[in-house]
Amino acid sequence: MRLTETIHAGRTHVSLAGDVTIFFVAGAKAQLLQYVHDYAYLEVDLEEVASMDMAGLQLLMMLKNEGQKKSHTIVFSTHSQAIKALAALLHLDEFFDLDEKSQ
Amino acid sequence: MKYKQEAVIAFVQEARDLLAAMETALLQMALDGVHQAGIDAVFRAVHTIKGSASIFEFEHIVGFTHKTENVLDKVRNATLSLDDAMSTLLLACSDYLSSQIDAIELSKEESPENLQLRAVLEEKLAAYLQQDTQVQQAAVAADGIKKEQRSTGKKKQRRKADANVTGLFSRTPYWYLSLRFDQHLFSYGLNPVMLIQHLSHLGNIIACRVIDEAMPAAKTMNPEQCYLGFELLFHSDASKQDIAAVFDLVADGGSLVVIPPYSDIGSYRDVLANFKRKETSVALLMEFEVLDHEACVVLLDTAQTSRKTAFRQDEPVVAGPAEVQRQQVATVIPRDIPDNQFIKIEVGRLDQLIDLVGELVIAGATASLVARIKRDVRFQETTQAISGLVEKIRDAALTFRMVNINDIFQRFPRVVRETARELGKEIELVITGEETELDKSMMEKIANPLMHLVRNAIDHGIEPVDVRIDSGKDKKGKIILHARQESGSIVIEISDDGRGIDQQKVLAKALEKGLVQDGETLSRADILNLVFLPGFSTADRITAISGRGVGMDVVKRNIDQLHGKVTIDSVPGQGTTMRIRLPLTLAIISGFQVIIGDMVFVLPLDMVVECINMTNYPVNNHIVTLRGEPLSFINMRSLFDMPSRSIPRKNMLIVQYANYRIGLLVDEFQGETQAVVKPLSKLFTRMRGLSGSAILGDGRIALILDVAHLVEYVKEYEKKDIEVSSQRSR
Repeated sequence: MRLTETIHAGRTHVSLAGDVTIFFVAGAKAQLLQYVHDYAYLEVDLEEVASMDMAGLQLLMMLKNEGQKKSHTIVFSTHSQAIKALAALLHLDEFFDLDEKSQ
Repeated sequence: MKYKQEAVIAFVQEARDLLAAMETALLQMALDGVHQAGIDAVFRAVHTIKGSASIFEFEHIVGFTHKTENVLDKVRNATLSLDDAMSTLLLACSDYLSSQIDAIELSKEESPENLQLRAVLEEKLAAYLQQDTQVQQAAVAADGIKKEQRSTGKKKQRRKADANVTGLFSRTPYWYLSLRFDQHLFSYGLNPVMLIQHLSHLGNIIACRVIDEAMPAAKTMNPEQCYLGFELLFHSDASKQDIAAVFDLVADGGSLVVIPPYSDIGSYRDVLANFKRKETSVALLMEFEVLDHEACVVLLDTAQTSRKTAFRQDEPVVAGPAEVQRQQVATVIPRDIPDNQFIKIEVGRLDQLIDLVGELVIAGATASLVARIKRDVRFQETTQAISGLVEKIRDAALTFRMVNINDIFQRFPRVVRETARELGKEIELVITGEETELDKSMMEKIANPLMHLVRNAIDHGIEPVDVRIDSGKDKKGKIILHARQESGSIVIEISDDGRGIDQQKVLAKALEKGLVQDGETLSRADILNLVFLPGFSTADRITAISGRGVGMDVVKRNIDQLHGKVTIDSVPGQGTTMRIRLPLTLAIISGFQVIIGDMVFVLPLDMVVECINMTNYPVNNHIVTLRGEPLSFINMRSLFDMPSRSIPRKNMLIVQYANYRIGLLVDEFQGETQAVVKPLSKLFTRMRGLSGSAILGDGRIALILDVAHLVEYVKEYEKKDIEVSSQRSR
């Protein structure tokens, strides 16, 4: 898994790439949590996510919950096929912000 | 055979009416009190269904109605009384029977019936009969306390049979799964998402909710431990064993609850146990429409009383006012008022409506024509408004006939699973685009060809496991079913990642069978298309599933009948894709009207790309150079052998069908029109290039051009050209 940060039009984007799986969640947790704490609006770009397992999904859920607690907005954007398939399987379109607007 | 079908339809109708009468009578008696006429009505309904079912040898219905009838007979003779619990049971029986009747109507007579539900119902019916004998023994005692005894006897019995039985049933036709996992699951290398994916091959996941209530605060949460759970609503014909088996791997240390459709409300207690907050689970059960409000009250109630009895068994449960209220609620028959979201309409009536709308379209067109001739502006405006509305009505009427292709696709997971198992292969089926809509009449005709192609893909396409491993592929084969709409047609694709089609083998076989001549030059696509010829099969070995050489030609013929097209694309070693392209043809089309010679013709508007004046472009033989690109065209007048006009205009219509564009040289454009498609008479069946006829606004008859065939025609003569030129160059 790779994690990169870009600032685009004054907004912070974090993009995840590769396999968001059990092998990387422990390493990524602290950093991602820091982003959630630091920014009131965070866009998490999932364009290059090749696969995501339940541990990866769980991590994203934790982040979104944490954001909600702090009234910070976290938006998932530019979903890869793997994410779309996962969202379709588990009926998670809403969680992944996969409504028409974001497409 | 046809006689039998009609008779079965009559039986289905009759049984439905009887079940409706039975329901009405039961509900009426629940409100007004039990009366003999009502009991007789219920008895008669069950008895008649039994009689009719035995004529058709629907043994499962006969057996079940017989048992129900036995109980009702006792009620009729007043040896048993019809109380609330019994009418609930009888209503559940009636629901079960209706589901069986539905299955018969869909001619799934052989489909496995819902055995769990049936067993539960039969057990309860038997309990009544047994209880009756007990009652008879007790009848020696004073008559006055008889009723009292019966109810206590029943309670005991119920408690003994199963602590989870409330006598009330969920109305959901779906399985309910509640899954919680061992916290250390991830460290065993397990990923429940994969299991859900696997589950989705056994049926359809109707609803899914990821439950994260067990997740600790962000700081303390260990991302390598599993805190999530799933609640699923699942549609499947699979058995409980098969469904539970999916989760065998993660059963240890977790809590997996699998509840069949139409289960007793008490069974959902295990779901409650999976939740930290009971309100969440109850809200979810209601949201998923598994239980209604009253049922949830009952469920919470039983959960509470069972906990109470567990903790303080000796102490009597004190019924507070709330408790009393709940008990009253529990005795209300748990039936929702049937929602009126759908109405069933006979297909014939719908066709009649569409026919009438078709006539309306013609009449509207006539009116606008008159308006134009009269040059009356207000009249023209009015007719325009009318035709706008008519168009909307037409569109609405046509959507009635459209059905989700999922109706067919959902049959495949099971077919794939069974066929694969039979052949000892491992296959994953991926379905996409299942929301694509298709005309109902077409749906029925495409189901069989599709089934054939899928079976073919499993049998010939996907290699046996050892071969796959040897060639470095995943041992699990993959079949993809995909549907989409594309410029006026529906495209259905069946792809596999199997061995592909060996062109050399196909060619050799075709030569051997004399289907092609030695020395004929054939393109790759031509060779692949040979498999659609009658009597062709490359399978070295014939299995029960396919390989007898009948089939592919039948598939092609079926699709041809729908004015569709089937093509093959295959890369040896990597897989095959079969692509079926069907027209959206319906009763009415938006058309483009042209004149050729002295006749009017109509083309489907979706297929028209562009109109040009050909005099502006260089022409050579039957190729026109359009913006630097060559485009083949057909001189329609000479194709149909029409008399030539004195001043021929060079109007060309560019049409597209499946990535292929051709030009049609016609005499005059007349613009858009609405046309009601009427089939051509049998005389014209051999006529290529025409797909139907239409009546125009002014009463004239126009023929509808079959663009698909015209494209074929161009391809054929392009090929001949190439042959001629290559011979010349020799």
